[in-house]
Formats: sequence, structure tokens, C-alpha cells
Amino acid sequence: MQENEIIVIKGRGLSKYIGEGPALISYEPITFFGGVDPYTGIIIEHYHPLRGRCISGKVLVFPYGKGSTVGAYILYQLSKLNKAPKAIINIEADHVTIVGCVISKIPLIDRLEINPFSVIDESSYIIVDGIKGLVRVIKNKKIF
Amino acid sequence: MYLTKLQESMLKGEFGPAVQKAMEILVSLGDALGAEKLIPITSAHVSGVSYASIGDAGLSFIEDFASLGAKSRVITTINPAGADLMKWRRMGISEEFYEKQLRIINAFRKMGFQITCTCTPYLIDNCPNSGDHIAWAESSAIVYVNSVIGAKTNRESGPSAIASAITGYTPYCGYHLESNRVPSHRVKVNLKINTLLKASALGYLIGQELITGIPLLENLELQQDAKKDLLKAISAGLATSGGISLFYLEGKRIFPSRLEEYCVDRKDLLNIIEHFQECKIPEYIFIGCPHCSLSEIRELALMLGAQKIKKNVDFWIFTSREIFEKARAYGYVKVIEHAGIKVFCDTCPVVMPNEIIYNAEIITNSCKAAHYLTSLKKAKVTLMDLRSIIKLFTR
Repeated sequence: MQENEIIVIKGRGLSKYIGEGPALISYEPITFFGGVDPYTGIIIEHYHPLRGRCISGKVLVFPYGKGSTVGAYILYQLSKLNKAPKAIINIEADHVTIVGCVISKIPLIDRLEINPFSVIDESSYIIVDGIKGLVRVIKNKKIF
Repeated sequence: MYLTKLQESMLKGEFGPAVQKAMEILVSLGDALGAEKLIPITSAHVSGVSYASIGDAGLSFIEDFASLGAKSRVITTINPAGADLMKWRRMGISEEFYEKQLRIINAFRKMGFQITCTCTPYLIDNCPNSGDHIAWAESSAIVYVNSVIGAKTNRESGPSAIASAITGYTPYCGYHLESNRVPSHRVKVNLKINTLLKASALGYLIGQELITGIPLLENLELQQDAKKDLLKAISAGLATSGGISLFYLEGKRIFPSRLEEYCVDRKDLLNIIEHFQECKIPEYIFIGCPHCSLSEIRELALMLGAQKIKKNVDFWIFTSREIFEKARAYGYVKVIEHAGIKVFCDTCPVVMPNEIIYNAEIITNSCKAAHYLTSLKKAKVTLMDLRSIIKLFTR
């Protein structure tokens, strides 16, 4: 069996909760209002590279959020339906994502010391500690 | 970020779960924005009120928050709803929509917010003083209050304005700091602005060109007796096409002479107006984006006199309930309704449910309305000034 590789990265904890899950990566910004179905967590934005993928239960990695501030409420609705992401990692968090994460108790970290896109891929399992501002990236983790 | 003892205890939950949640929002935002502290505010204005805009997601957050015992600590007003709360049936609003809208309104009422339902709170009881720190959402009101009144606010969102209303604080950063309120561009206007349409187009044009930044408007001649209304229209235009939150008129203060320059002429203004000429057989005429002031309603009544509007077009004007009551007391509403025009309160064309005017053909004198009716409701919109509208559509 392959050995797990664990990378610990320091960042800025903006929503002070802890969560973990498999990574889902978007190199494009995410628009929550109008771009994510508030009942299923599926990305519905036209022409988005992740269109059709579901953000529920994932550690969602994307540069920043964009679009209407109503987007914060979409994250809240998803969390009430247990369809929210387990955590969010941004390059530079925006107003909508920050507010959305805080009201929904989703951990949020940005400004990682290492560019997350260079370390994290979709086989990574990620633990996000928004209190300490730490991200643990576990590669090749087998989940039984 | 530095927190006072009181703010610390709010964050720890000693003032209940709603204050705690609100404080978490402000601390996270403050940290992200690099604010050194939170400062007290004197007023809040909340956007995201229409059920058409915030849906079930927003409704559930606002109801949950109200049931946690959230109460405003400063004067707090709210933006337009998706329907006139009294005459909603006459707008074609469904029973289901109205019920959801009412739940949102009742949750805000429970929190102690004033049910003003207007984008122009500064025309009624929420008019801050120059220099006040405030937390406002609603982009057109932000520009007006920063620029014309001289109070200080960042561009807040619905939830961040709610958090500030509940705690009485906002992060000390952005436009709250005098050093961030210095003009970035000198805009030579060289125009006489005497209609709301021209004022609106001027704002829209500058917003489109600068995107962000703080313009200092020079050589701008505003018709004196309508100055406040014209500044309201300029503010809405600036906020619609760009992200501008503050502008200056020359003369008030001395500013650095070396600024990037930009010129606006008549042709640029006409280009904006010509961009919105899509309406062929008008079904609706919408006036009141931002909400009509008392003087605008008076002006409309004077223009109309005893004339009546042609029957094949639905002419709606929008204002706040408070201004409506004043206009009724002065007798303006009677003249306007006699002409066949409907006066609606509590709502506006931008936040009405899409299905009511989806794909409709609409005439308006507001670039903000034209912009959002085109993008949100896929309407075909033509811009026209009020005097021309009255001339063309009276019988």
C-alpha cells in the first residue's frame, strides 16, 4: 500500500470552524447566486468548467466568489439541507463567500502560503482548520 | 483586529446568539479587509428584501436570525420589497409570492427594522449627518449618502448591513477612512443637466468608464431647483454600470491638482441613451427608479394637469409609502391617478418578480431601471425623458 503524503499549509482563517472532505477544484471563480442550485449543491452556471458537479460534502477550492451578495444566503440554505461544502479554500476570499461561510458555519481559509492549485488535486483529501488557519492535504488517502 | 471589552463579550455570546453571529460576520469581514477595529455606526440600511431577489434561501436566513432574538441597535431601514404591500393584487402579484414576501417583512419588523421599503431612505427618516459612520447596502443610496450628504459607508451587502444593525458596529476600513476618500479622476462634464434622464445617463456613463475610483465632477451645471433629484439620479447611474461609491462636485473642497482626466460631452451622453432604444410597442412606462421624491411627483402632477394617459399603455410610478402619503395630502396623487397612472409603494421595477414583466416592452427615464430590466427581466427597454413621455402618451 502506498504511504500517505501529508502536507500542512498555513493560511488565514476567516470562518472559524473545522471540516474535512475530498477536494473539488475550480480554477474559475464561483457564483453562488444563480450559479449553484440551492437545493442540490450542483453547479449550474453556464460555461462553468465544473457545470454539473456537486459541491456538497467537498472541500471546495476556488480563487474567489463573484456575483450578487444573495450568494451568501445560498450557502446558508445548502447548509440547512446538509448539502453545503465541508470547507472552502480561496486564493483571496470575497465578501459573499466570507459572509456565506460564517452564517453557515463552513470553515474558510484563504491566502495559503503555498498556492493551493499547485498542491491539491482531486485525489486529495483535505482537513481545514479555520480556527488555527491550517490546511492539511492528504494525498492518496484510502477511505473505507 | 482589536476588539473592545464590550465587543469581545458580544463575540463570546454574552448578548445572545444573534449578536454573537452578527459579530462573527463583522470580525471575519474586518479581518479579511485588514480593519484595525470596529467603529460605532449611527444608521443601517438593509438590501435584499424582495422575495424575488433572495428566494427561500434568504427568507430562511432572515426568519432564523429574527427567531434568535436579533434586534437593531441603531436606526435601520430596508430596501424595496417585491410588491406593493397593500395594492399587490393590482400589480398582478400571486398569493404565494405575497405570503412569502410578508414573512420576510414580518421578520424584519420583529428585528425592529423600519418597514420603509425604499431605496431612498435619506428622503425620509433615515437621513444621517455629514461625517457619520453608517453601514448601508443599496448601491444608489450608498453613492448619494457618501457624496451628497457626506456620511461614510462602504458598499455593504444585505447580511453585512443586518450584522451592523444588530451590533451597532462596522469594520473601520475602506470609505470610513478619510485617506480612502480622495478623488482619483477629474471628470470634465461641460454639460447642463436638466432632466433625470440626462443625470442618470451621466452617472451611467462615468460608471462605465471608470468602473471604480472616485470622480471629481467639474463644470457640471445642474438645474438649481431640481438639484437634489438630479444628484439622486447621477448616484444611481454611477452605481449601476460600475462600482463607484463616492463622487465629488467641484467647489466644496480643495483637492490635489494632479488627477487623471476624463472628458464627457453631449455625444457620449446620447450614446448611452441610444443604447437603450429597444421598445417598439410600449406596454409599460416606469418612473421612479430610484424612488420618486415629493418634488418629482409634484413635477409630474404639474406636467399632467387635466390630461389623461392613452389607454393602451400601463403607466406606473414608484415611491416610498411615506412620500406617497405626503403627495396624497398635497393632492398630487389625485391628479396623477385621474390621468390613469398607477402609483405603487414599497417596491420597484428592479425587484418585482420577473414573470410580471418578463420580455415586456418598457419605457423609462432611468438608466438603472433600463440596465436591470434588460438583464434580469429580458425586457425591451427604451429610455425617454419624462416630458417627452407625457407629450407622447397623453390623449
